[in-house]
Amino acid sequence: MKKTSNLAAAVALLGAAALLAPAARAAEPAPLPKELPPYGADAPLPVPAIAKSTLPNGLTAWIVKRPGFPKVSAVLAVRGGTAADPAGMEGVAGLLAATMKEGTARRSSRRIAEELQAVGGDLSVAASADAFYLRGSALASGLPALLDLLADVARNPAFPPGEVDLAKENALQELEAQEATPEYLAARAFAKAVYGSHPYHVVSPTRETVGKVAPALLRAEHARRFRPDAALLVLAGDLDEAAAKAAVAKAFGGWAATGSPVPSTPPSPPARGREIFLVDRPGSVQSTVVAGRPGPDVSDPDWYDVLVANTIYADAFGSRLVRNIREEKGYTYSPSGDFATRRAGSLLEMRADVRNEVTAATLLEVFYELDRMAATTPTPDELAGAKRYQAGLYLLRNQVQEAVSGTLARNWVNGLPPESLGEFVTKVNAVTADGVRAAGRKHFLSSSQTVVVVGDAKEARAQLELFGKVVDVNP
Amino acid sequence: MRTRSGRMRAFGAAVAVLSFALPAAAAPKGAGWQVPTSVRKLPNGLTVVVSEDRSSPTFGLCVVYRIGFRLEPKGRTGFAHLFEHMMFQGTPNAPKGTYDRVIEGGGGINNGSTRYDYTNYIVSAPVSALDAILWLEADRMKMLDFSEKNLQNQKDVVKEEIRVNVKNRPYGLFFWTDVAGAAFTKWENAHDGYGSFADLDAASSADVKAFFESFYGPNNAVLAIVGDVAAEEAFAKVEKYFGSIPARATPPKPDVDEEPNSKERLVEQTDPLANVPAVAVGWKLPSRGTPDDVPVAVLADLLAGGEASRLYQGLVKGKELLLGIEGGVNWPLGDPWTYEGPTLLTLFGLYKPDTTAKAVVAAIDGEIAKVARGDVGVAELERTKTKMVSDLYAQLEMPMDRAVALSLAQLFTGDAASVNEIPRKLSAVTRADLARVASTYLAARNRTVVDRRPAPQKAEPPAEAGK
Repeated sequence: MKKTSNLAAAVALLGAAALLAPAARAAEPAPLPKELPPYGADAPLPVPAIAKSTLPNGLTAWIVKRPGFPKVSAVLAVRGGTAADPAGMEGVAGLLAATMKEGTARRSSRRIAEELQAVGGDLSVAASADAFYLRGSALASGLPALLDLLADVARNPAFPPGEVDLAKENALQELEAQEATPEYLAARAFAKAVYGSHPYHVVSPTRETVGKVAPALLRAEHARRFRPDAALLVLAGDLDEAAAKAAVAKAFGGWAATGSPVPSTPPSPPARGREIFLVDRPGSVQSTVVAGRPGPDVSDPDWYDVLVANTIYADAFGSRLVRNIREEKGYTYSPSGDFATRRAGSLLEMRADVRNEVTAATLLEVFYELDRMAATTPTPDELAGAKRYQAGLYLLRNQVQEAVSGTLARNWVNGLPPESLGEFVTKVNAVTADGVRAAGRKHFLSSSQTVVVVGDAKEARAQLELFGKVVDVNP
Repeated sequence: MRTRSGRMRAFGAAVAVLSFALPAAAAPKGAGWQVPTSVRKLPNGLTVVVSEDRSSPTFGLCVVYRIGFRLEPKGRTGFAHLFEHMMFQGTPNAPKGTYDRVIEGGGGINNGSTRYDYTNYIVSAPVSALDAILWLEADRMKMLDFSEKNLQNQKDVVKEEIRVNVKNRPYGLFFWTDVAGAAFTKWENAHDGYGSFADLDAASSADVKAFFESFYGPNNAVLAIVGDVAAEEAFAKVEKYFGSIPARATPPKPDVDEEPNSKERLVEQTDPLANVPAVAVGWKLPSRGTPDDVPVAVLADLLAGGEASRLYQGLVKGKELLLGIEGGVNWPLGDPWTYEGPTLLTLFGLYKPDTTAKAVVAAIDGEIAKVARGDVGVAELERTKTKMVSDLYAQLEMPMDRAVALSLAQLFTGDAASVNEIPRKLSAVTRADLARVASTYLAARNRTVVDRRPAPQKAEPPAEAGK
């Protein structure tokens, strides 16, 4: 309970959270203990060998053979997530994801669940901003069954009326339940504040969208988005390449595209400059503080500079912000600094839950650390540490087959070639102190940040007004 | 809070035992994969487990101490967890900040967790940092910086942890603390492991020092290393860095076992932060080590392990009473292989506004009654076991997770390799076993129910008074 995040998820998503370190404003840290053994020589970096192929129907298939561990992982990514939802139907992708495995032309929802269980399997369907992800795993011996189920769910969902009604009812209840949590209120308000009407403002279905959902509409949305020429299948695990290829062809070879592909998402908007939004949550004993802004596109040469800068700023146990507001001042347990990449632009977002009375004091330190990224150059020790940390996360992701298949799929959705995975560490290592400072000036200045606070307005408002005009957001 | 995994028994030899990935006979599909384990005990009592895995130039490490919420001092609720935080606050040799700087600067990540029966410290890093990290772990086993300033800082941090996870969050982990508080009788098992703010405030650096002396010696710990290092090489490194740490006297463990309850316990609560009602049900289970351990684990999965389970199909689908269902043995802080006990089989779900907790519990009882009558399909039981084996493997894939599993198996069963025996034990469970454990433990008399409903909305002042 040193920190909250689920480690496996943190590794898979690249977001290992934060902890510890010395006095925050010391320029150079104390020398290391004399007896401490030095690091050994780095081993050569493992780079996954990807067998790439394309089916005649346009489906891209990547197979990564990893002998030993007796399971397999499969990810089918299909372009067209919540950002492709029609106007007035924001969040419908979430309902589509929630209903796709609730019955197909060949199987009931129960049969799908039981057949998966019989091969030690799992299958989830999720809609992100840019894509649908169907993620499955099974014992290695269950690969053909897993692929058959995955293809059936992807190609032939039936949207049985009873299942759709239940999913709608549950979606409304889940929305009720989520609206009781500060993190959901913060995420929704922050996305709206940063993106305005850009499609990335959608974080979940609205009640209006849920009300309009019906089987015919889901069928149409499915047909529009799920097409082989807009999809990537990644397999990783203890498999025979030829047999896996044959199973892929059998499961997906007959999949044909209809209509025209989903249009691409417009570039995300630039940072809007400092704005402060307050979501009143009466009775809150903490303020949930979020500060962030859009960052560079993944194809932007700044991207690696920003990654390393964000690691130094807030995305590691020993990062500046965590040392400052947790380990020196004790304002918070779980500060985090995310750098989330999407196809049409990235998002920088720090979050900390702090006791009410230090809301302003926290924001002061957040702004200080942001401006420090722009005003000063990182120390050689900080820069080297951040680069090694990112290289280490690459190695950690490479330990787990689901992390390998998931990273490859996400990179593809973001428009990166498969080779980008193996080039990651080299590019991180090329980042310089000047590059980090330039990234700080361009992407971290506190004057460019959108701030959202969810808390008891009676406690938080006056504290926030110290920093500028406060705009109330209805929860 | 995170949940982790662990497992059970096999070889007794305290020396290298190797095996690897062989397909097996009978048993659930895919059973037969094994992880290598080598175990050695240092003269100071530190038990070391090594599992060589050359698939990546990395390693995972877990140092687990046999101390958790259960044995923390009375009047000091939450102390075991507060102490866990103090383990990251530096030592006389490596001041605050050094630990994370060296691990992250070496490309690694680290964390700590406190549970009823143990507290563990985990690291995952490139193997080039193995020596440096072993040095750091040994250094904080020798001595800590018992500074008042750092203690006050971590009291503040822990209070924010409790606020973010309990006081500012709907449901506030009631399915853990409130169910255990109502189900158990002995203070050791019933008290809140997060602790009260008053008790946290009362903790002194003398308490920290005494706890360190009593429970954090090498003889009260297991260290597991999994990854790109040969067993003999790893043993030699551990000997080098930990060998000189003297053993420390550890207090005898009190008897914490409890009899099953003889009368149902019901608690009704309101939650001012929640919008949707919730119910949690817990049944008391004895301490680990009875022949029923594995059958109860299978029963829990049969009832609530995923979308093919009875309660998902019966209550989330079917009767449509619940939004979802979660739970299991030793849930939410662990699983069937990671406790010493006693523990609970707990189930938790949000329920629909048009039903009641009573109706939910009655429907759960209906499914339990069927199992108790022996009404379990052969295929149903087989696929439940197959999925459990597959889930077990997933918990052994990442070296750091495997280090946790092996160290806890060593700590609680005396045999790290017992992890490799779990698939065989699962396959031996019969319908009759399930019927027996369902009627023995999941009886109404041994049940604790906590019904937690949204607090009534504060009435708006009437627009026209007196109407």
